[in-house]
Amino acid sequence: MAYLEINGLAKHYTGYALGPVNLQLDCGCAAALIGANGAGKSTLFRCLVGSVRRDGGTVSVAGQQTDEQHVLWRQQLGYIGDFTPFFNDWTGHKNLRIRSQFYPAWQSHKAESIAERLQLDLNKKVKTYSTGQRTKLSIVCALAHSPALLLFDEPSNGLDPVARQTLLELLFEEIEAGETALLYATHHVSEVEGLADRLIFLNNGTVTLDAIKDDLTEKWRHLSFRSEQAIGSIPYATPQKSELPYQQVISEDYEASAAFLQQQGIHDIEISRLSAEQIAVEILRNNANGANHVS
Amino acid sequence: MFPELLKTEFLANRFLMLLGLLLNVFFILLMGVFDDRAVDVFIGATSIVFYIHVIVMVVSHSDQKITRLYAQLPVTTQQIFWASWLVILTWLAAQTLIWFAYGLWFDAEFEAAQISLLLQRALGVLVFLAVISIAFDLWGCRPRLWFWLYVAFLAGLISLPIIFDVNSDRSGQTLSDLLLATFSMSTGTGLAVLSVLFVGLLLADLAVFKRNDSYLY
Repeated sequence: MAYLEINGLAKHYTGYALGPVNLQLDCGCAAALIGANGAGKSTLFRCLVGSVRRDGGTVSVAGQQTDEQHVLWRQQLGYIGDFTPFFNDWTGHKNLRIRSQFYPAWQSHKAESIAERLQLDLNKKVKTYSTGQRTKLSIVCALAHSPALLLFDEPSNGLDPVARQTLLELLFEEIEAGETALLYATHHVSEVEGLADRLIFLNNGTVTLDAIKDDLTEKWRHLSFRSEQAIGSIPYATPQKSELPYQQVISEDYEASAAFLQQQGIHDIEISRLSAEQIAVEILRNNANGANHVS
Repeated sequence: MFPELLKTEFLANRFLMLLGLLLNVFFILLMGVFDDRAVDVFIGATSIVFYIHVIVMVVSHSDQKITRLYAQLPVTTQQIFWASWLVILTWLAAQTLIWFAYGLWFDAEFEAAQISLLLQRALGVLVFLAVISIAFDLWGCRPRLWFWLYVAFLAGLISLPIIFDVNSDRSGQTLSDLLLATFSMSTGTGLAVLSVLFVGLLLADLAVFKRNDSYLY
């Protein structure tokens, strides 16, 4: 069963449009949503959660259509947005207690355990929390009821490196348990490189690439070679800064690019792997230049 | 999930409500200093305190982005709307009871029959709050033009009678006279008019709130 199914989701603002977005996440899937600033990641999340009204399209969470009158699907949702609101005059404990009323599957011991692992003092009032501590509390809120769908919008913002690592461990455990799908928006692919099995790129409100991470890391390579003459357009390849006779390109299908170079009489080609982060940077750079990608 | 939401909303506002009650006690003690202990004076003073409290409540809600919080919980926008209004209604009901108790104990000219006049005052407060609430909720709707049209309408409603009054040498025929007449109607009619007005405004506010484009505030 698809834990998240988006069909034609659209949102229009003056001078900006999101979508139509089509996306499906199955149980156990961890997808990274990658996009430049203003690409529409937060708007997409807000439309999914329902805190912003979408202009069109349908969304279902764990098999339930999301509409405004039947909102029990939100019990299947763990969400961290750019700002998670809390009652500032209450302690972390009290905020959790209040939230727990709305989620029948809430596990208090799990909430306590996550807070402990994140080294979050729940006895302090939320108004005394730093940004990172607020984020930690929102992580506890998002995970304590073991939801079917996790929507995390740049959750590591403000987190220290230890907390960031703990967050990733927690997410690993949730995904490993096999009852959750995760959509994790981030600018830093390296952060979720070991976690995400899918990379979804959003540019100007449109999904430009939705690919299996391993497929990308398998196909994308860095090619360097020596040629006295500048080689023109190499299929699937983007030239990198280099000086003749040494040339280098990044290819999104290195076999096709290498075959082309061999046809040009270039046989000494050095091929090296790229990290998912490097690939993402290249894709975002190409997106910014108006290029589309094969997937 | 509505009972849970209502409980949360009451818990979130309980200190403010308690402070309101304490201020009422303070005003009762203060009134003891004056010779004139008419219930109208007491109502005037406590109404202002009530309005200030509602403003503080709205500002605190907005500062903590409580609507955004509720919009992420498994509750409907309709339930969020009613929970907020039920807190205000309960609070005002308590305030009206205090007015009534004050009248009975301290105002020598107060009669039990005057309860409908107190209710009329309370409904007047509610109508005013509903009018303001619609403006707030229209701010969250698209296009924003609706908000400005509403503000212009309110401004017209307030200013036109003044203009008419200044330019008219006839009395008893202006809009302001009509509004004043509404409030000085026989108590039964005044109550009915204000009740219908309040219910109408409340339903309009609900319709506007449900059509908000965003609940991020």
